[in-house]
Amino acid sequence: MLCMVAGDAKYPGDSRAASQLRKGVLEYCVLALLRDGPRYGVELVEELARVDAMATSQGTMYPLLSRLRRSGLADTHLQESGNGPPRRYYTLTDAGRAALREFADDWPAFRAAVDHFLTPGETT
Amino acid sequence: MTDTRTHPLVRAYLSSVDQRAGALPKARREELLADLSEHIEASLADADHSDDAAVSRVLDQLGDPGAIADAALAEEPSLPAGPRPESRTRTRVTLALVVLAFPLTAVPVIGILGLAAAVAGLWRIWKSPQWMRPEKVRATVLMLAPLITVPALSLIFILASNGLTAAELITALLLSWCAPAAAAIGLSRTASHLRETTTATSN
Repeated sequence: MLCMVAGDAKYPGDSRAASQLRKGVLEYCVLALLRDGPRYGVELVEELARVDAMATSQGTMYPLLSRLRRSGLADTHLQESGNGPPRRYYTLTDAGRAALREFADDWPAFRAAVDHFLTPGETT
Repeated sequence: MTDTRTHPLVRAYLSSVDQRAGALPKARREELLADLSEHIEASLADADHSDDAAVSRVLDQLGDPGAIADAALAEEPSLPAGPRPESRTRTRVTLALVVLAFPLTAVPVIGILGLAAAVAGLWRIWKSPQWMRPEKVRATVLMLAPLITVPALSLIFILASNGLTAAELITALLLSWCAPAAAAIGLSRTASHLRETTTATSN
């Protein structure tokens, strides 16, 4: 998975850098999770919150999901469940798929650029 | 399972989010609360438990209500700072008051209505969220300008021609009317520009 980096590190607090980075990439991680098919809200936020670098708590994901829905990158529909209430499933729209593809294309160069500056001796 | 929303812990949790997200537009706040209650209901159904311990665990994983409210507020960048548009009709009424106040004061008998229109117009400008402070100040100055320009122009005419003819007085009034008219044009432009840009970006 594209964004499952640093899943092994435990963050007791949350550094400023981590929160800034997350702001930039979190929505693309959500889109990436939806790439292979619809998922319902609980599934989606549990998956994201499982990776420490990606979430502060499950609840903070919902405002982001709401924005993806409003900006047309994701769609939702209710689907009956055998167990309990109907679940709200999120699906990727064509616009969402395009946004994800664009990000996935840009990411390797971006990552390489950051590594270039961070690695000692690389910048001369 | 349908009454998890009335569970005291859930109610306290949701009302805490509701309070901290008070600055959000109503629709956005309701959507957030609906998303969270759906999450709670679905999580409890998935867990096959709905006792107090299960409810606390689900709320614990959802996280701090303040953090959720902050995340929601962060998704509304234009919320506290920028101007927010008003309806076309409301704007038209305000602008009509701005333009008509001055000519009304010149009409005999009902001149007092002009004063009322001026006060109402200024009050609506200052209450409106669609204009920022500098523009409000400018509009107010232009609206009040005739108080100075009418006597000043009359004085000039009197000094120039030893008296004030009806034609000269009307000229002074018409010239003075340009200031409130300019105020209305400026306000109208900002308002319609704001309406266009906000409908274009917030879909």
